[in-house]
Amino acid sequence: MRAVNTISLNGNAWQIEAEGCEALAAYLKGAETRLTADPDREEILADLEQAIADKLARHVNAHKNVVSAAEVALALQEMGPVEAGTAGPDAANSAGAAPGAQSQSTASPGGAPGAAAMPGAGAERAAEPRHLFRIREGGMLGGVCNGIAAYFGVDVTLVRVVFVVFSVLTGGIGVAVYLAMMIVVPLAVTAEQMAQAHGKPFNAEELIGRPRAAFAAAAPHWRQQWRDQRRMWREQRRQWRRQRRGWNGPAAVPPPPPYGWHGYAPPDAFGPISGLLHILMVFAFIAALVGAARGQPLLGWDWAALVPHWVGIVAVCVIYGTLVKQIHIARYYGHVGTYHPGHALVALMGTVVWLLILVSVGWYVVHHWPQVQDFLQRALQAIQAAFDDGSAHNPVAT
Amino acid sequence: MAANEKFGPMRKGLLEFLILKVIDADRVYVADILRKLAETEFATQEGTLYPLLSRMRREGLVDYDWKESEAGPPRKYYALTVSGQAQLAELVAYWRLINKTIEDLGA
Repeated sequence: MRAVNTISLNGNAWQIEAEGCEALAAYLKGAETRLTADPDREEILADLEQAIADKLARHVNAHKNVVSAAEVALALQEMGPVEAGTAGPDAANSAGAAPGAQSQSTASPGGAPGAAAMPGAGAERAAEPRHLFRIREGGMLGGVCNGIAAYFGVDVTLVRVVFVVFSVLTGGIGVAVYLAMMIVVPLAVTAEQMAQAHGKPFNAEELIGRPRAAFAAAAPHWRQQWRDQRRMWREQRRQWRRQRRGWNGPAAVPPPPPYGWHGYAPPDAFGPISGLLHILMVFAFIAALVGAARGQPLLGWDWAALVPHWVGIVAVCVIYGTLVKQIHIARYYGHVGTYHPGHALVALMGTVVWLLILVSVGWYVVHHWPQVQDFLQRALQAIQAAFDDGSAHNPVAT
Repeated sequence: MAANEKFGPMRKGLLEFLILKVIDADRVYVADILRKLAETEFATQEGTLYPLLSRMRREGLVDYDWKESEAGPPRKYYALTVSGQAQLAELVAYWRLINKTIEDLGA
């Protein structure tokens, strides 16, 4: 709790923390003394008060009506020292400190005059710590990528592409991460939050320092998980070996392939063929990806005229992922020794259904974008409400 | 005394000239002037500009009228007076002369 005083700046009441009031009074008192000889003293003081009020107005809103001492200090720093505007060469000499201060501040681009140049966010950027927020303006879904881009000071398209590629490579984990962030990361609402979302200008030291600190904190946890994971894999391999040797009886049914199975298969009849096929597909994938990124027509069909390029990139990634999964499934059954075309057919059917669903969802999203966005918004609010309720009723579970 | 220590007084002497130029180009209020100067070597703050503008008005070089703004209180919009324009023309001519002198002497 801090004491707050109400003062008047050029005819308007302001609520300011007591400490800030003192700084403000000292600044105006100093200005008054320095302008003693100025015939327009009253008018200049009124102008200065109004200029300070304009700067303080940036820090108040419907939810915050008290100006803090730090915000007053920032405004006064932007105002700069008051110099008597007397004419002649004598004035330049008598105000000896002023030219020095000016040259100093112009020499450092991040200094006060630079901040005064951008009355919007410039000064806050220098002072506010950075926070991760979602930014709705310019965002596509929930503003997650936009917020991340602002946080790291990079282009939002780059973040989106990384997110999509990450999602495809990890088989949908990226999508789950996005949804989780939509729920957990708060939306930047006030101007202050918006400024915090952008934070101070990008700085290499922090870029390295922050992840390093986070890694140091999380490393033991990751190591433990990695150990558990390896133990699980070992267990699985042992089981398969037992089955191949017929320990579970001659009629042992091969276990169904784990979803997205990526295990290493020892060479067998299918091995070399599938390996070759895989390599060819990787080349085709890279070629298709480049073509999609550049918007080249496919088999004479100018798809780039209908949908944006990134849709093409996503489509190529999805198709590649699906086909590779076919090879993995075939290789798996070849490995456990009970491969016959029926398995591949079933798997292919699954893939076709999966592709059809994807295409229809994609078509719907492209053609009904506003409704989709609205729906996602509502769903998000519902989830958030449930989340808040849950944590309020059962804090232990969270 | 290092060279950059001598820049300060030079800038200070030229500030008034630049303000005349900024006001001559467009009808401006103080925040406009600050913004235009901030991009240059002549970055200035309110604490300097208000007293200076007040003196220039007393000398009859500039004048202002009040204009309502869409947000906040009315603002003072500055314009050059006739004698302000005359003085600006004189300063520009003198500045060209100085430039020429510097170039010629160096050659």
